[in-house]
Amino acid sequence: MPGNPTPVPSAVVAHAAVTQQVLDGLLGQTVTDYCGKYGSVGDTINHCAHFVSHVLDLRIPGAALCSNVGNSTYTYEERRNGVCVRVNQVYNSCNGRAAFDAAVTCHTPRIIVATIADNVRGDNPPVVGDHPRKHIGFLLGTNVYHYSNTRDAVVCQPVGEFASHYGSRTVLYVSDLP
Amino acid sequence: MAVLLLATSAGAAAANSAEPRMLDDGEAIKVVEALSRASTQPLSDDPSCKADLSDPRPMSVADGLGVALLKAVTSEEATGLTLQCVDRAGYPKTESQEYCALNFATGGGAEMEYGLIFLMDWQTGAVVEGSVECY
Repeated sequence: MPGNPTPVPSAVVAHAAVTQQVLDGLLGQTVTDYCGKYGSVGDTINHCAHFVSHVLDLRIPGAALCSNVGNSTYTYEERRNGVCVRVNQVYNSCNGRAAFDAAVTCHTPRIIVATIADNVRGDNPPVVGDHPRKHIGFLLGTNVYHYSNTRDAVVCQPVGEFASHYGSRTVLYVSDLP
Repeated sequence: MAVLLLATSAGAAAANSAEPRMLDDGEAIKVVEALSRASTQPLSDDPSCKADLSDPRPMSVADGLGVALLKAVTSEEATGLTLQCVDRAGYPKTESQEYCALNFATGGGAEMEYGLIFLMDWQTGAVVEGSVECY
């Protein structure tokens, strides 16, 4: 932007208590329910990271937010009030990034990303790239809570099904919550 | 394989703006030429287009266009490309400047789906340096 932007304060990450009860309470919500200022039911925008970020109230300095991308209803003054909207910016900012291991049961909530192998660089830690085939949600136990863009709603899905999100090309990666 | 379509209509409004302004041919040429001249300039950091925000390497306007093109050519739906100018509520600009968007939208849709948004200065014929954002 022209001129120097106001320095962004340290990341404001207010972890909600990401419990099964909280996530179950979000099932069926649409982007209009949990945001209302960016996107709409039936649009073609990928809202999966948007959903995750609203649950976590996640805004990372410099990240694309629902308040500063080109088509939200936020004003210029509100441009830093939104939450992150890009899968890779969210995931690549997390600690504990690694390939998903089905043999390991998650007793605490984690971030899970489905993408294709060519969209991941490195493995220590892995970095998810810009290919549009990427999707993010919460892994809790053996279930994934995520925003289904095809159903326009928050859904819960066994991780075994989520593992086929992009068919046989799907690879899964996990991380700690940001 | 994705099909990239060049559309002439401006498409639907950005959510916080009046209808996008359609550019005439002369304006479209000026904008594309200005973007081309700006291709090596750095993208805005606010917001950043980087996949990894901890990566210190700067991204250029050409890099940002590459990100949008990657999405377009790997889309399973036909992708339309439009050039439109939009009103961004409260965003700073002078009288001779206007926010414009190189917008990709799948299935011939009219939404502002992804692309580059930038401040075009009609007086200088240039994209304002540092104004190009990915969305």
